[in-house]
Amino acid sequence: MMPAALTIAAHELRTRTRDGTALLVALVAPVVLASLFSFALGGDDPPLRTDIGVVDAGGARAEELNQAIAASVELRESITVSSYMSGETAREALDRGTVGALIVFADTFQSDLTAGRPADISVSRSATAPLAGIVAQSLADQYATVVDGRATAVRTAILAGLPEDQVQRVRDAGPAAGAGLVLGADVSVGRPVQAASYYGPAMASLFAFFVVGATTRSLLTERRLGTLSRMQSAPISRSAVLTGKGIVAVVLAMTSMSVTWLSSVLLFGADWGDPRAVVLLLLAHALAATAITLLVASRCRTDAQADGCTTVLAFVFAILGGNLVALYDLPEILQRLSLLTPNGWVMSAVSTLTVRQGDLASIALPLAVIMAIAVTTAALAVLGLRRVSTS
Amino acid sequence: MTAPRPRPVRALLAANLRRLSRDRVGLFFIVVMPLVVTALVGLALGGRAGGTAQVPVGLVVQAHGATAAALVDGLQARPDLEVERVATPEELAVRVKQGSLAAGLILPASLDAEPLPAQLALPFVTTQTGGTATAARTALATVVAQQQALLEATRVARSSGASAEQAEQVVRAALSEQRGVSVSTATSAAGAAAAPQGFAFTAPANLLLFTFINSIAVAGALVETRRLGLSKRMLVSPLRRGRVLCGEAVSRYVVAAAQALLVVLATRFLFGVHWGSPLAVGLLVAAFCLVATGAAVLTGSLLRSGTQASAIGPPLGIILGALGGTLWPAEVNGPVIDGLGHLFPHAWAMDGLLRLSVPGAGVGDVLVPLAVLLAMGATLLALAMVLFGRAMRR
Repeated sequence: MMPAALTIAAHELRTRTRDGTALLVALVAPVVLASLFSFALGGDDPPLRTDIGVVDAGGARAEELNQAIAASVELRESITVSSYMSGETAREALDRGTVGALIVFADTFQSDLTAGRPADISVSRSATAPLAGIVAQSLADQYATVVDGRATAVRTAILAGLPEDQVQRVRDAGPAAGAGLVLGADVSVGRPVQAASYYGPAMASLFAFFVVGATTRSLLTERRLGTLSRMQSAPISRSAVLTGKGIVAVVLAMTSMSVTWLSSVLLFGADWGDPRAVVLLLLAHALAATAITLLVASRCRTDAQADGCTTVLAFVFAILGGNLVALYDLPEILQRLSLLTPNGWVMSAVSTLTVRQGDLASIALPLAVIMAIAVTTAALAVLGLRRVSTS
Repeated sequence: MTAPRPRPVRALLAANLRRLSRDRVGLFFIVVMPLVVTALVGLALGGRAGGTAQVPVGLVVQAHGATAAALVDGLQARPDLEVERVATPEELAVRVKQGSLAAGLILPASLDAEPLPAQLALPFVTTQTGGTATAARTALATVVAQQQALLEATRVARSSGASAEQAEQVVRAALSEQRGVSVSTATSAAGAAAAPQGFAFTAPANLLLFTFINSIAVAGALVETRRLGLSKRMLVSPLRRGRVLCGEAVSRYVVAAAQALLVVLATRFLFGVHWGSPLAVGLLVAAFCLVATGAAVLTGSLLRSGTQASAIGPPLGIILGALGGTLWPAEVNGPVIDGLGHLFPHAWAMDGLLRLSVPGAGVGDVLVPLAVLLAMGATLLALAMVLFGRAMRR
């Protein structure tokens, strides 16, 4: 059987490599898409550099905020404060993008505080600088907390019946007094995992289906053209035909996925994890994709039908399996449904290898599940394809 | 009795639509896929038809007392934060490193100590000092500061000899008497179109993505028409070649426009997406459909088999979509990708549709994208018709 299978495989390989479209789908498209995803979504989260505008009649509060930011190791490199006397000028600066957000103290802020009336701060945010808006909102809320906190402590001292000298001490102590609950310094967990290390495998596993689909579909094309019948009139077993086609499908899928792997490493320095584990994972996925597309071909009447069904399946698996939207960003129910797809198990294994720095043993379960999918669907495909080759 | 006047364009349109109606896979991609992908990606991006983004942060709670509970409540009430409880610090570190969380906070067991330590720093977990982590830090620091202020007031009350319950009552009374500082928030309308969220982004994005992909994919039928010699047979009849070409082009255009209309209406009513001025959106989408039709006819002229069209359509459409800001918000693209993207129609159409989603925007606000799309569509269609005409005679 093997000599016949290898002959069929060699012919199929020649046919596929002469087809420019197949090369485009197998080699160019996944590399381009993986690179696009990595280029656009990758890279480190750039440090925040923003200017917050403060509108304050006296200018004293802008200076207070500046001092508070300068005292913070985490914020002093990221945020500067610019003082504006006029709200209109400040809003123009916001609209132009000169400042990322505005904190506006009402003209009567100080007199309202002194008189015990509600005092207003308003924060103006821009949709083009959401992070600056969050920072400005937080700074305004913290300023309000400091002012209110001091007032609450003093009022509490009075209501608790503390003597006047102790009340005065509370008034003078300010916000730094007492039990210090603070946000600690950054605890770094190391560099984030690059987007290329996720979207490289994602595009590779998506396009594996398109690559193997062309080969498995060719069974139906050959039936239509009559070459399948001619092969069966020769001493060639059905198994040889299926094996030959299967070998080519797996080889092409592995080639496509390996080229995507190599390109993401060379272009983006991506790290897909333990190389042995990655090779086995890609091989398992190639086998599963081949078996699934063979099953599709065995259930379709024409090659065009098989083509369409394979495309639909590839997209559905890609969406559920986290190839287009990261698995961890999908709603909970879809994360569960992803376990029905080989793509979902591949991406789960990739996360283990890249984020948790796992080894081959750590992805034993995903490998086993993908192989089980491959074996089960292959068995069903062989049963169905017996009907294809004899009809 | 005179014979009825032949109407080749109408006849071709009817024949092509009948052919498409029998292609279940094609219909799936035209009708179902755009809506499914819009829903899924929209949910992943926030699931709202607009609104502001939240920073995802993880929270590990190792304490069980009132202070920890108050901090958790305060964090969950913070509108800028999407707080997710995580079981362990190790899992938090993995999630932050993976990128699914921008940063994390650990509430240690020492928060339950009575009295609290003089200085208690809550661990803030991050990968590095990125912008999102900095923003998360300021929001978390606000909640911690608010809780610290309450703890200080309670300490003052306890210093008078009051019990814990009495101190709590005194602090509550002090808070109720206070007028305090109020902080209000407003978002500037300028640039609002640049940062749509959830369905407000995925609806226009997937309309453009799938209209183009499906136009290229169904061009396979055009290739088959050529390959089987049907086009040549049509030319033998007393029909002008232009009419035949027009019929084929109109068929593709009607399918593209129908799909676009379906996506607009379905997302409007299912997800509450605000598209903007119907006239402006209609003109912009019609112009994009013209481009997609030109691309379809061009594909039909250049390719050798129908399967080539269905093989090329999805990858080409996805690549152009990525360049044009339909796979992720355009502001994520750097200037290079953005510049490259504007060589193709998707970027212009996306710019226009996002601008129209801002209340009050009209045709006048999208004249440039509209003009560019019309020019691209007219040029592409003219070239495609010439090439298809030649291909028909081969």
